[in-house]
Amino acid sequence: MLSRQRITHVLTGLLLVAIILLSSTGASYRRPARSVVNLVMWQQWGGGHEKATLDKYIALFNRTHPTIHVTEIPVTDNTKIVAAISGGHPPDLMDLGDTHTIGEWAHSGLLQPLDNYIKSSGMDMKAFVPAGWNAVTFQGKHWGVPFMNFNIALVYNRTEFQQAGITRPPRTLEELDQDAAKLTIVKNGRIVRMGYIPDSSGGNGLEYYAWLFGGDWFKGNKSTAADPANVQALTWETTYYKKYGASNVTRFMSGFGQYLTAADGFESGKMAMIFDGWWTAFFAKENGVKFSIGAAPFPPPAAHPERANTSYLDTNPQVIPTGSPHPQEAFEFIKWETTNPQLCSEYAALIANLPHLKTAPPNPLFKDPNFQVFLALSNSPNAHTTPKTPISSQFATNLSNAEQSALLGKATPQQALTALQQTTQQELDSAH
Amino acid sequence: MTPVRGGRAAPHRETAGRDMSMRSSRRELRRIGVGLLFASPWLVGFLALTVYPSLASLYYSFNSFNTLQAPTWVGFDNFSTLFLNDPLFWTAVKNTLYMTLVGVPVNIVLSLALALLLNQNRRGVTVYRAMIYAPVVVPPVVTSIIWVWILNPENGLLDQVLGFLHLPQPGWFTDPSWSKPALLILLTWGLGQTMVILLAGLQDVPQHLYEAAMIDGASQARRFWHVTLPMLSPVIFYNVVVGVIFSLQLFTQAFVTAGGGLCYGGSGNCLGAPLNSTLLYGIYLYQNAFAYFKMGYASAMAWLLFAVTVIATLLLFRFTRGLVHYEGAAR
Repeated sequence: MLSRQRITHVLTGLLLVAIILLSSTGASYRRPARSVVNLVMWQQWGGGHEKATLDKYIALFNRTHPTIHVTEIPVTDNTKIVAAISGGHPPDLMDLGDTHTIGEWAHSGLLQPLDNYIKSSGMDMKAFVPAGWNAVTFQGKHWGVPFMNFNIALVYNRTEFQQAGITRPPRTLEELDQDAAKLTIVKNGRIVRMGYIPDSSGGNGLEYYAWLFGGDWFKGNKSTAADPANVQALTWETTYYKKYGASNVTRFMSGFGQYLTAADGFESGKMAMIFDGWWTAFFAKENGVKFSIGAAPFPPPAAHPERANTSYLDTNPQVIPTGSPHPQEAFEFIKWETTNPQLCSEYAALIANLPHLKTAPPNPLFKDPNFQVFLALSNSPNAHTTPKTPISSQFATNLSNAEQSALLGKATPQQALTALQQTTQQELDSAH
Repeated sequence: MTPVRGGRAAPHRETAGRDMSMRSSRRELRRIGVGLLFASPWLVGFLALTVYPSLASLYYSFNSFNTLQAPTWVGFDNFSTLFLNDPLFWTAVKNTLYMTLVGVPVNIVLSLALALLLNQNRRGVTVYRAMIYAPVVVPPVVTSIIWVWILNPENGLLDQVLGFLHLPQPGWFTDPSWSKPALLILLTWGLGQTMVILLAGLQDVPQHLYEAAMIDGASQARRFWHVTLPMLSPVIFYNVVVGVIFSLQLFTQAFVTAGGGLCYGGSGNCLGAPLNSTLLYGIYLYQNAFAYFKMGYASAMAWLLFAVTVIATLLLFRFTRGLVHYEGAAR
């Protein structure tokens, strides 16, 4: 009897201690006051220094805005986003990784147009780099506020260039092909290094080469996938697969580790050139890569010097989903985050993205000649934005399949793109 | 013991006769109510999470529905688009048929061979049984990722062995013509499940039948053909039916291995990679539902799959009627 009583005492004591501990840890969080609005932001930045930078500025906002408290949660899975919004449980705001889905999501009502918020808050749209607004525009409305623009160029392994006796980055597409051949190493029928693989890095491929060859993908509600220029672009891509054998190239690529890690194609030194953003160099440095890295505009065909500095410009759109519990406060945060020139400059330098504001003050990074390549490209008249359509995810899948079928020799570029145009048109028609 | 019962029974006797029938029916109702209450944890779940979604998807299959905007009635449009206007649907059907028509026989034959081997009374046979069964316990995602590594054409284990033996080194999951065989190899890894059931069936074959056959001078092959196989036929049949249903719904392994990790953790672009060669029915359904948010279209696909599964099962029952022998069944 006595021992049971004792046990009860001990248990009660433990329970009390647990309650005290739990409540004290609860209290140690800075609990927002009653009138504080809690905002949940879903964001799609990479880990490491990108997330750390975002957290730093969110903390600054929370300190300076006692009535709003922002919490970020990484949500890279678009499926989850759509499910949450259509299920009626969206976050207050989202920071998307690119604008590819804007058209489709705006079309199906997942996002709110921000024009009224922009107008009533007195946001100065002219302070922004204009191409950033293009990237978030669909059917005449703005569905996001541009934040941290980015683009891609030719990023190359300078050390491997020097070893191969190449003194400067290629200035024409033909030169690029020759350099790539010089940089490629094949031993006993196995590829050891490729100078260049057209569809290799970060998913940047045919969509961009089309512009380099003078083509494009959409004209209003019409698919122009089978445009002769697009066919030419894809044909150029296939020369790399034909020269070394499609199965050899895919085998070689299957040995690459995950993108932006020390084992990926570029960082492991297996690819001397990639068509990608300057963040690749930042991640390479973070991962302790030894070689020196350079950047140059992706070269145009020799016969078309007017297509020099062809690139695209995209941004990390700050969007408010349909059904956001606190859209007004969410936009207040977006405005604070996107319109401060000092923040813009610092943020861009920390993650090697382009400032989205024209008024961003200079930063040591902006003087880096490599980074200047990207800065200049963002102002190029040949800077495109990725197409905004109601069928963007299907188009992305079908485009990638068309590209692959030509590269693997299962269809001619003409066949692949004619089929793509037909499917895309069919999808477009049924979406409208 | 008795006082409790007596105490409860007494009032019944008092009122008996007045409204006996009403009372008993009320009692019956109460008993049903209590029964339902006890079954409610399952019942509520079944109604809310199985019956309702199934009926809803049947309704959606006749609608255009993107989960956000209200569904709009399109009649049989989804079905006619599937059959007449969607080449990828037929690609998915072909891939799934390949996996079923090749995968199920391979699985059954190999499992049976293994079960026969492991049915012998040798030393350590239980250890071998455990070893063959072990992969079944590993979650399919883990098995799939491990096989992506083993079959990596650049630095995979199998590739190195094949290279050492100067045999051809296929691209496996990265090559459209090898991706389905690679998937079959991966699935074969998990045949322990079938093997164990066949093994149990083998041990159920009465010894006296073998003895009788031996006395009649039947060779080992004839004993297998005339005793083992007929006695095992219900078990084999069960495994064929389950295998067909499993193959028609195959998803996880194809989802994880798509493109051979060429696009690990990447976007939906890699579903069915390379070149839609692993675009199985389940994968294409998932792609329509959760990558393109064509819920009506995906629901139509789901009901079509359900119908095909039912028909396939009925056909299997019909065409194997003469082949399956149930012990003790009336002839």
